[in-house]
Amino acid sequence: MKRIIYTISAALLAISCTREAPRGTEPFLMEFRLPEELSAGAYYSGQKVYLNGVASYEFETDIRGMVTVESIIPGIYDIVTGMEITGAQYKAMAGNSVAVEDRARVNIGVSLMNQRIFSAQDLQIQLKTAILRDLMISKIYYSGTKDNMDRNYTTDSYIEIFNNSDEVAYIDGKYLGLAESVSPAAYPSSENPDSIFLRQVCRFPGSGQDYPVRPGGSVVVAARSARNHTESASTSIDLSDADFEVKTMEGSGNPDIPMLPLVTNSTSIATLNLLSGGPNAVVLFETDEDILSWPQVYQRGKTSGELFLRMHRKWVMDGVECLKKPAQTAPDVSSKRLQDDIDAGYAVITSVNGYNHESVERKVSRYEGGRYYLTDTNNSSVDFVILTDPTPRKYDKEGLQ
Amino acid sequence: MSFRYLKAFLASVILLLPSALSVTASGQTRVKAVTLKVKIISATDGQPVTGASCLVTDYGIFDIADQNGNIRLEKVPAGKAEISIQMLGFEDYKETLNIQRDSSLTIRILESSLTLEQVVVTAKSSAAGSSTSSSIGRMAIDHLQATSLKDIMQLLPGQLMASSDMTSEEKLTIRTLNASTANNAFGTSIMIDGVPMSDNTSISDKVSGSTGGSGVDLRQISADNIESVEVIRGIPSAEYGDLTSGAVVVNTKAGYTPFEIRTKVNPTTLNTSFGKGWKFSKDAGSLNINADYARASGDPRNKNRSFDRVSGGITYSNTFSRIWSTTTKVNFSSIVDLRTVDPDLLVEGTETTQKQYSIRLTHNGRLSLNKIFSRSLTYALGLTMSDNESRTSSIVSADGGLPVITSLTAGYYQVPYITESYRAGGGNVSTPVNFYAKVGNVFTANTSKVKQRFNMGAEYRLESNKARGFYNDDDFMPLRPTSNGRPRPYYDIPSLNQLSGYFEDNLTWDITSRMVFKLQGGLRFDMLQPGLPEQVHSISPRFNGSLKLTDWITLRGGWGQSNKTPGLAHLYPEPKYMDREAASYLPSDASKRMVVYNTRVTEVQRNNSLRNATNTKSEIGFDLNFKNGMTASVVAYRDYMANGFGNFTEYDVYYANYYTARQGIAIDASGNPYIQWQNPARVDTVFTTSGRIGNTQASLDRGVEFDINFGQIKPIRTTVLLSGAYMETQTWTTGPNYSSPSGIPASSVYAQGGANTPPFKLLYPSGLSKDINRRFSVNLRLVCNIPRMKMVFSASNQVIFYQYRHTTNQKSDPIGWVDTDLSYHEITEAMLNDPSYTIKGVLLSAQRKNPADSNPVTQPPIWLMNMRLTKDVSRNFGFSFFVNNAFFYMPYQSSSYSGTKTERNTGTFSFGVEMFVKI
Repeated sequence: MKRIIYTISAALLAISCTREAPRGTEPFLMEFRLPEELSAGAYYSGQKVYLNGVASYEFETDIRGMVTVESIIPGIYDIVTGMEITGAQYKAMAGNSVAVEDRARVNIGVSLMNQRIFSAQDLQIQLKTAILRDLMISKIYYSGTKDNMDRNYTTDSYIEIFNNSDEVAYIDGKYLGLAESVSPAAYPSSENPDSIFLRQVCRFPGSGQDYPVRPGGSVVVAARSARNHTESASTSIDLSDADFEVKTMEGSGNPDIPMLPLVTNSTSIATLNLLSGGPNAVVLFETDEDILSWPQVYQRGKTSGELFLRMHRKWVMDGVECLKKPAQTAPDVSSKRLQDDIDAGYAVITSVNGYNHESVERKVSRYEGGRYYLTDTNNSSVDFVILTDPTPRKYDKEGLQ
Repeated sequence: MSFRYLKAFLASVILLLPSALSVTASGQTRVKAVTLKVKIISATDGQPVTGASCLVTDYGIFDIADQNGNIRLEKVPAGKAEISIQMLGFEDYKETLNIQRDSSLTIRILESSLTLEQVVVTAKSSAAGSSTSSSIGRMAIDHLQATSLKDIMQLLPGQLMASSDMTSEEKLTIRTLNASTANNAFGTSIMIDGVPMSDNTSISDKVSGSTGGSGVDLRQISADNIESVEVIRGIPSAEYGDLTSGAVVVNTKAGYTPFEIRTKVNPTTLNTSFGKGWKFSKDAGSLNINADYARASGDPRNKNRSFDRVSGGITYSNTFSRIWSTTTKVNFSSIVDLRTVDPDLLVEGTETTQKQYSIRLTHNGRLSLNKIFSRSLTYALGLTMSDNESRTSSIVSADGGLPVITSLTAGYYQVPYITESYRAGGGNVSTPVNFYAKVGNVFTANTSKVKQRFNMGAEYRLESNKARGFYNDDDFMPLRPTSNGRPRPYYDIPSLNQLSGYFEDNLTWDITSRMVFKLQGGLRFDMLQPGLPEQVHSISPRFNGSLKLTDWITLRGGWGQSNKTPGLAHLYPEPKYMDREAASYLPSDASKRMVVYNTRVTEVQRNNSLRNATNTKSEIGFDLNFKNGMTASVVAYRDYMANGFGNFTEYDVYYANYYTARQGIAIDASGNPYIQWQNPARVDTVFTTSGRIGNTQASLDRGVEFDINFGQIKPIRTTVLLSGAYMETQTWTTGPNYSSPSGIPASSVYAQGGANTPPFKLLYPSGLSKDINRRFSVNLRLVCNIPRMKMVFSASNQVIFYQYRHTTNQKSDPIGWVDTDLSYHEITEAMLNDPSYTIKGVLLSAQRKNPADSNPVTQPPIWLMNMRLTKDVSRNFGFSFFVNNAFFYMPYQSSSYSGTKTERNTGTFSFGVEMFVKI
């Protein structure tokens, strides 16, 4: 980046003295360099490059990622290029160490604004990687709190899903799953590099475009009960405007809130059973397969009890690992259920058993155009903070900035 | 029907009688009867020992020493006979005499004290030919500094050393490694002064959490008042009934004792007791009183849990006309068990108090009739009345919304939906009353070679528990607003009536002068609730035999069955309430909320399908007695109980409706919801169980016990004793093993109803999954006594060489299924082999269970050393001191299964001191 600025400033100095009539530049080369993690032996070849300014040009990079510009009208241009690949392709190029879900869209490109191109100076342009996720998990509140009589209060748990893109996204048909939470971990990711074992899965209703989420907007899922919980627990929250309530029958519970049905369930608990002390590994996923056709397995060595749905990790759109905090030691990282490319880190609340109204919330990356953009590096240790204010849909909390 | 058995039993008794008589009558060498006069004096000061009892064990002839220490034993058959002399404060005296004519002799008995050459501070094994047992005397109890009966058990072979803290219930198990099954403790009979302590009337206490029918809580018995304990691990005599695992026979102090105060202090317990016995003038008998106070807290830093015990008793003994000796006791005990949170947090917390007051009256008598068919007649009467009350107060968590379901009858009810947690109080009152009466008779029949002692008797028990039971202070603010929280009064629970009879022959046959064959053969009949539908009865044959080959080797063996009758908790289970949500209408406007529940009550009023739990015991072993004083005893045992008490699954099916705002819940003109009963959104077919108890718990205990006394190493005055056992316990359940089919999609109608609405229930073979525990432990005890210093020191070194635990998890295929109309359908091999076979749309092949077998877990060897010292400073004052885990050895070790290192021997370190004053 710096190099580009230097190059441009040098060019500016060079041309500032000339006062000649515009004429085409001499031929020059634009070299597009792939981001460092991809650059080993790979080139940005065959991609369209757009220059928009005093005139519009379209080029295509050659096999070595170069564009030879014969002549253009000198002026100020925006240089825009990009290619979109899937997370799986990206990892194939970059090696699996990179934290990206298979389902993610990865944009490799650049958009350089107001470039002054007046002389035939060769340009070296560094491309950047942008992993595009539209829907992502932004808040998980599972700790519960204490009610006004100081008793444990756990029915106020919820999960919030946020649209971080600039386009309207649709929650229709997406799945929300909780990974197994047996202690010790029945199927940790360290032993299962490709699969996640789910104890509960909910499927959002809708047939495609019934439940839109506006850019910067979110969907709140009341895991147990969509109502104003502050009535009996002052430190709790109001979920009476939740978008969904997990229940078994439409019309039970809060009749005004639509049902989010459980598709698979390892127990007979009829709500989304977020554990107040953790661990809760939450995944948002989409698939065109029938998830009921996926294998279901018991805990290793058992023939009864909970049946877990085995999912390939390629379907994951976003996942957040919330580990249980042991009484004296650090959380047991070997018990992580999500692979490092889905969540390279973990979130953990400060209490062993919960009940301290702490929620796991995604940090704000920036505020722009009247909406928030949230951080997403697929590392919950970095992306998430623990707040004692679990209010849903609220992104101007101090700790999030 | 069952009277047939009784008749058969009586007939067998009658049949046996003439055969016994014939031995007496037809024996040409009928032995002559002689009279033996014994004068018993104290070896210390030569004074006569008044009140000492002298028993000719072979014949049951006995007498009590008069003011001058004189004893007169009449009609003793000439020949060899073992006499046994017992007196409180003196060492037991046992000697085999050869009496051919009327004679008189003087016997000196030793006063128990540390000045004796040999002091027994460990358990003594029983002689061959009778039940395998261990007896533990007063000196051993003192040296151990036991506070409760449970502490004493660690002297048995194979039992691990442990220190109890008394803040939780203490129950006795015999020869098992699985202390979690209630059957072993429930089947252990605790006899105190000839009267059993009964747990038959206990009913699960929902407040304190104690389970009914799971054994007697031993904390109520103070160890300081115990004179001796005999633990019968093997096949008990037919005289002992209503048991499966074994019997613990406790004798408390009676007669003259010096005034004695004892105080024990250790980090968890404070225990003080005093006792005094008086000998009144001629024919006025003797009186003994004792009182005991114990206070325990599990952790000295923690004042939230405590245990207080006050107990005491008065004993009056007297002998009338030299032939009728009686002992009458009144004992009381009061236990307060407190569990609370920090007093500062009491406003918000939970407090549970458990109080138990009991009074116990026993009267024992023995008539020395010395008639042909009644050498001595014994009887015992016991009455125990207890008042057990648990109280708790806690805040019931509403967790945002709590339906308070209190209905005691079936139907649909709109229930209060509480959003605020509330404080609730309640309790459990039970008043068990146990009456026990027993009559026994002993007579003998002898020829010169064969001696027979016939022991017979009858028992009657009447036991009831009519009390308030479980209650809430406010029934609309219940302690447990769930299915398991309904009040349960005990008033309608019937009383237990139990009739028993036994007959036993103890035969001794002197084959040659050295070779002796002994056989104890007995039969016992027990019947519970005669005439009622739930009547149960059983016949228990028992045999113990031994063959003394030469002076130094004796072979022993035995086989027997023992039966435990079910208790109130098993026979009359609580009604089972099943509550299902029928509608949950919770709009944001709280005033319009409506929650409806459906309650179903299943009642097993009289459990008429129970049998007695039967334990079949077999044993084989040998005893060695060497001339140099070394003895060894090895016994291999096998206890098998196929039908212990456990849960029994049986299903009933009913329909329950569910209404939603979409269907079935309508809104009236004023905006309030109401149910359109005829229009349910869903009808669930619900499987419900009855809560019945069955004979479904099986266990197998087997192992080898050994007890070796190497004798005293004279130069260092140290006795070396080695005891230990290899034990194995397997437990499994035998009842029908149902489970719901797996893989029902959460969205299906079967899953929407929750756990109890599967399309059908699958039946799997039972008993495939077994809990297996094995242990090999050895205890080497070194006892050093220095009479001149009046001191005994002992070091107990326990090594657990091997510890193994495994829960087997076998492959199992369903064998049948139960439809929602309760019809049973068999599943054949062909159906299982068809990969696409479905039952009601559920794939059968997915129901075959083929688990990976879980790994057995073994622990590395671990040792533990406890040290004890007892010293008499003077005749009137002494002290004991102990250190458990003297080297503070608590290593971190990992098991064979897990690499995680865990601390071993935790909680074993403790120390304490006891002082006593005798005046």
